[in-house]
Amino acid sequence: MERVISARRRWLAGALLVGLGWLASPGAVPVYDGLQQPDEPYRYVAPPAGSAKTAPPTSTTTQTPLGTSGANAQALSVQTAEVGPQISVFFPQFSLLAAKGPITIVLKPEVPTAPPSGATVDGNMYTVSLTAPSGPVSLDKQYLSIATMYLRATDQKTPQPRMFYRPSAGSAWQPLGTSAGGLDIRVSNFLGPGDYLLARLPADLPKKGGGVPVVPLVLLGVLVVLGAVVLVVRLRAAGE
Amino acid sequence: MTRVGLLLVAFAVAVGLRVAVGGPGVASDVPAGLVFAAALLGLAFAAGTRMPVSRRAVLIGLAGAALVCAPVGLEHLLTTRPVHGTQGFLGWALAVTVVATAEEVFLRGALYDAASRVWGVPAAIGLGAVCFALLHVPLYGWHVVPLDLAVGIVLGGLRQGAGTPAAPAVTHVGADLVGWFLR
Repeated sequence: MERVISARRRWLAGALLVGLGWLASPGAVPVYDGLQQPDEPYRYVAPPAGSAKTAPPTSTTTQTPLGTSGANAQALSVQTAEVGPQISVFFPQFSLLAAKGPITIVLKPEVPTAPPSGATVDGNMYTVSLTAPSGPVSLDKQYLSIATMYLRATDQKTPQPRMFYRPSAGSAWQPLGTSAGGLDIRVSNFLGPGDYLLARLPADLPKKGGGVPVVPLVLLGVLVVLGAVVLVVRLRAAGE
Repeated sequence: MTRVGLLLVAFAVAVGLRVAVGGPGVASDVPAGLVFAAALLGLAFAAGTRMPVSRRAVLIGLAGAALVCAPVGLEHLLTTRPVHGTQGFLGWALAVTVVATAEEVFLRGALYDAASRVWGVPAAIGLGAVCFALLHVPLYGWHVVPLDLAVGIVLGGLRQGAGTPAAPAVTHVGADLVGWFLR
């Protein structure tokens, strides 16, 4: 009996430990990977020359019912169907308001038009629209502060692009505070319906320069060291 | 140098090798992962590590997988995100099984055996967890350290409870495979 209780305590302690570790590691999926899951090649609306041949990028339309408060009753994530999704938006509970539901959320890829001045656009522009039968959808500022926009970059090369937003086609692009949600996932606050895209400013681009091709030399050195260690450990194991 | 020291140096070299082969996309680079796995398996073989597999160890490992997947699974449920499809899963699953098993054979096998002989089981569990967390830093960044440290301790506990690295290997592989669908 004591052994059973001890085992239960150990499992509970393990669960607590993992829970705490997870809370202390924001955005830490992937977690204990032996190997990160690969993404399919980026799907462009207008593929640039030399890009991989892919299916067209997907759009998505989702409806969410309203609760008695006139806001979305449930939190929801909306994302497109690529692996991994090229756009994903998280709407917290009560963040979307309308007089009559349901609220329709549409995420649609577009060719970037009039991109941010001097910037090199990375991938598609995505248009987010929010509509309801009663007319426009308003946003609750308090709850919207934790609404999140995720855009996947076209590759994992660094430096990764930053996110830009404009509320309508005629308005100016504004850069958003952008963080990493993975090696190629860019994360910003969701500011409202409108256009979102990823782009690099000239200052973001790496400076080109020559240099000694050190990688083959490093690899050779590393292999030699590894082989030597294996040999030593093996010899010691044989001697014990 | 002690055997533990040698294994740690070799482990650092193997991580460096993986990063050098994988370049900027190291986290999802299959050849880099397999080179890393081969290096770890070579070291475990050199150290004479054994991994007896029993029904009990597999069951403990499966329970461990459920435990370490619980937070991510719960988050997935709460944010109502759909699970991912199976396109490209099989090839990835084979590679990830090899890499995750190799990590466990080395960390909870060779290194655990060597460290527990010198400093005792708790130190062996802690050392394996620290190595496990640091191993993922070049792949995903420092923000994963708290979670990987916690999971590393749980994996070490499973090794100690089951008496074989087979249990944490089942947990690690199981969690990785489930992670495909919960990403």
